[in-house]
Amino acid sequence: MLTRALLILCFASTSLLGFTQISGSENDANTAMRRFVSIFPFEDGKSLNFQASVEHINFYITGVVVAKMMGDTVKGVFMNEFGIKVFEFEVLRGRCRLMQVLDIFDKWYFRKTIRNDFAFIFTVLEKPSEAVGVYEFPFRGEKNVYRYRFEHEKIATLLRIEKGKTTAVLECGSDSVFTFRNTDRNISYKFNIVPK
Amino acid sequence: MKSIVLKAVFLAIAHVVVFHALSFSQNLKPATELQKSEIIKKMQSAALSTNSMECKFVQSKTLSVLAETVTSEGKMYFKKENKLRWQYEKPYSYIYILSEGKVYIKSEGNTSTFDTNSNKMFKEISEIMIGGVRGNLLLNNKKFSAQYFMGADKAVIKLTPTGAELKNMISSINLTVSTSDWLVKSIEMVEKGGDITLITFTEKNVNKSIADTLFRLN
Repeated sequence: MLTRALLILCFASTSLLGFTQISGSENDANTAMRRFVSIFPFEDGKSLNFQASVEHINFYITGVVVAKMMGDTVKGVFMNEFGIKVFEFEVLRGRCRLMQVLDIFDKWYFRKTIRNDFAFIFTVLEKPSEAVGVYEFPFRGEKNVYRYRFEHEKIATLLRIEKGKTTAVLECGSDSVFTFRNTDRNISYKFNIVPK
Repeated sequence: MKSIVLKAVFLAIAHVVVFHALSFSQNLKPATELQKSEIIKKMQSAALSTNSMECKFVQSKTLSVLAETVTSEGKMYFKKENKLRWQYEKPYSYIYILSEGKVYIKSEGNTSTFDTNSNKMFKEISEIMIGGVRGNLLLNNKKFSAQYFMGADKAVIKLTPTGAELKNMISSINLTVSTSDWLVKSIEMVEKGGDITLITFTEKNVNKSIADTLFRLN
């Protein structure tokens, strides 16, 4: 009974960590988790403000995103520059929920694409003890992964791989400008951190 | 025991409701019919005599889900009849121009143009903005029902959307008008979800010459 409980606890612990080291440091990536890490320079409990745009061949939307990382969850709001909220979102472990979506955008194809892409953009990881090399974070089953490459303890590259095919990529990032591309649907997301 | 608890809850709620009603009444009171006519007349007169306006604005948006307030600042230019330039300068740059039935937007170096007649959302936004700046247009607009309140040095008009589309975005728009010049001092938009956007106008310059080039994107 005790052995079974311990086995369950070990499995649960591994699942909570959620990622697999592919290459890099020889140290066990499952030890000494220190804090959560995102592609964005979040400080836990503090929000970041972004000037954001979503571009597709058929539309171009701009607005402001305010997002806050709280542990392993990122909550945020996408609103237009006049402050009219387009939607609220919450991202946890590769899944995104959308709430209070503005009527004109409340279509199933818009929700599905934004949910998938925001989950990719805003998912946070528990930072490995030695953040060097490539890590994969499975989502929605085992055939799909987010692949992160760490350099100098920061996420340098980010891919979304679904059933062996790359469907989204961090195209370029600087300290304050991040561009993501959904290569499957040809949509670009740009996030430019603005001071408060 | 249960009835005591229920009684306590009821009294607490009643206390809160009465307290808020009293607080509101200390600053603002529902306008009498005479005051309402006065407000409408004076606002229409101020709007008629305003050929142009230039001012600064501060916009603050309260996001209840994040317990955060986002603040932005900029400048607004208005020229009769319906030319508007709404320019955000801090913390981001964004220009919205309404001129001759078209909306021009410049954001992060990209420019877009929309026809207000073919784009319903922009038409609604444009009407609200121009109406908010001019004040009187929203009072005559069938898309809103209006309630009027008077304070010592201000009047507040609470506008509630009547149509389903606007109702889905906005619960109410509160225009605060200064009784010194009868021009709109602030616009407060209360969203369906409870979030609030407050735009306050300062340093107003009325009837100053404004170049038409300001209502075009270069």
